[in-house]
Amino acid sequence: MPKHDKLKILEGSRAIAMAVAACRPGVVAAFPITPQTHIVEDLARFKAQGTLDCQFLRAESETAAASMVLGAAAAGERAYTATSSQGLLHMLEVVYNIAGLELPVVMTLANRSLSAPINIWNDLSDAMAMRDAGWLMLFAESAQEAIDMHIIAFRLAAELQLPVAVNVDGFLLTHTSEPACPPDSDAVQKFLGPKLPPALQTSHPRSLGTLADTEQFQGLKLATAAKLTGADKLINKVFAEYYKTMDTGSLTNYSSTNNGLLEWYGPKKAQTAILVTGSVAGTFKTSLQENHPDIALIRLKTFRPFPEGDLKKLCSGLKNLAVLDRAISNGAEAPLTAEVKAALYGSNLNINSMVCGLGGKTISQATIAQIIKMAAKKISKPIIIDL
Amino acid sequence: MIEIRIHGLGGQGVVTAAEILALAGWQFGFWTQAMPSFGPERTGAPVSASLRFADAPVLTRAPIARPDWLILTTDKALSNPDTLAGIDRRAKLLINSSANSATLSAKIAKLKAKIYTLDAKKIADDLASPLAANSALLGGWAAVSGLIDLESLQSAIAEKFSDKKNELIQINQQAAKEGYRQLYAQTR
Repeated sequence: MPKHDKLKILEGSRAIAMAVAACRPGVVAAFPITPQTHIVEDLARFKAQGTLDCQFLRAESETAAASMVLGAAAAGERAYTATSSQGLLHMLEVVYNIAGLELPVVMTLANRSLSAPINIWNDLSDAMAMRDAGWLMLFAESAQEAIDMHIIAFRLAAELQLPVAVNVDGFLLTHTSEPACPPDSDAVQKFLGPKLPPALQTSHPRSLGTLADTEQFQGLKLATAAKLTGADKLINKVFAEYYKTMDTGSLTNYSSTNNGLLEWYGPKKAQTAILVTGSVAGTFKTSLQENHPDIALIRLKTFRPFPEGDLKKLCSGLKNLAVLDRAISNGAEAPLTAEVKAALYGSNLNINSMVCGLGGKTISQATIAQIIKMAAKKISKPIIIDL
Repeated sequence: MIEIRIHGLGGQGVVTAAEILALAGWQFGFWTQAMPSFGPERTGAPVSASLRFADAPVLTRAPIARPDWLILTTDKALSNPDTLAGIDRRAKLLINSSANSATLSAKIAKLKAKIYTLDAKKIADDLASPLAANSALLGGWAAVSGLIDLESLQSAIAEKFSDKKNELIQINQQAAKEGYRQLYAQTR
């Protein structure tokens, strides 16, 4: 058991706040919403205690918070915000602007369902609502990986000049206390490198966010999209460098089966795999270890850019793939399944869509047993797991 | 792996109790995980937390279905049917109650689980600090479970309340000690 001196029992939100503070953001702006609130409360506490030197802006709404970090990032500050669910919907207009303007904002999205009916618990509906905006989207499994991904996010945002959202499961990760290695701020600064020149500076005046006419718009939009799509190599490079240089208390690492984009867990020659994202992966790993040693798990760590090429390679020896969707797309196939199918178009793989965990519905060993039972069947409709 | 569920009412510090036990178990040498399960904050609504003590990293985040231990911060939690879900004869219960275990056992006789009680409220009231009842209860649990020692619990209390006044830490540590003392005597 990794009984590292540096490990401490940390609530997920506290771990994230410590990682963000270690990145020394110039501006933090947020509006409280469950289950994200503990993160910014902790950052406010650090600021009050004097351990975090930043502008902490208490916004009057999420739209305002997002606008504040947009401006701060344009002026060259490391800018951070956090939200969940309806809060993200409230910011969405600005979320698209941040990506379109290619500004290096970092956001934590503590994943929660969307209203109505109102529900505060976890699923990935909010993440799916921003998937087309143009942000890099990472999904953390544990408190330690949430620390890792937030630090990596600041580095990627700066290097790519694109915003990064780190997704963490509401309650399951944000409110769970478990061992993690608090980051060393000096090591983090070294890893992040110097701040880049801002988009807006008085010495080189330029306009940001001007009208793009019909001749320019398509090209500009596609250029931003291409930058995101082409980020996969850099993502792997930055993850590799992070795990080479940073102390994670041996809890997380980088390997040939666990890179910046995807993790493969379980037997190499498995015929059936389950594809999941986020912290429920841990529940699946436990279940596979104990009861289903012949099944593999594929964990999507980077959702944007979607790691099409790597996923194809990982799936090349499989016969069956069950895709776990913790969100739906009203009127169409569940979003993750649809994307996986598109990525694997033309293969003979039997892909089944499993929908469960909406609004915090428990994903138990029984849920997983049911998913495994159905995984090898040929079923054209989504399978709703409702135990 | 030892799986523990704590049940009580909103405002009683169920989540804090779970976090303190996670710290204490970690200090004692276990890998620990504390996972609260609660809704929008409402005083008096049922609250529970799942807690795992293990010899290796815990990956699962499923709620605990069949606990080895059930700790109730109030015997009122027994009137909520969810409290006793998954409890069978192998489970052990520790209940904060002024009633003795025989009276409570009769009430939930069909469980056949081992029941311990501690009047944690009285311990806390005697210290003129009603909020310290959970610390007394956790002290009692350390004694009856034998899974952690009093020292780990007391240092966990100090860590959890490190931003609070020293006096508050000491009262909670005292409550833990008294809870430990009372149940240690009863079970050894």
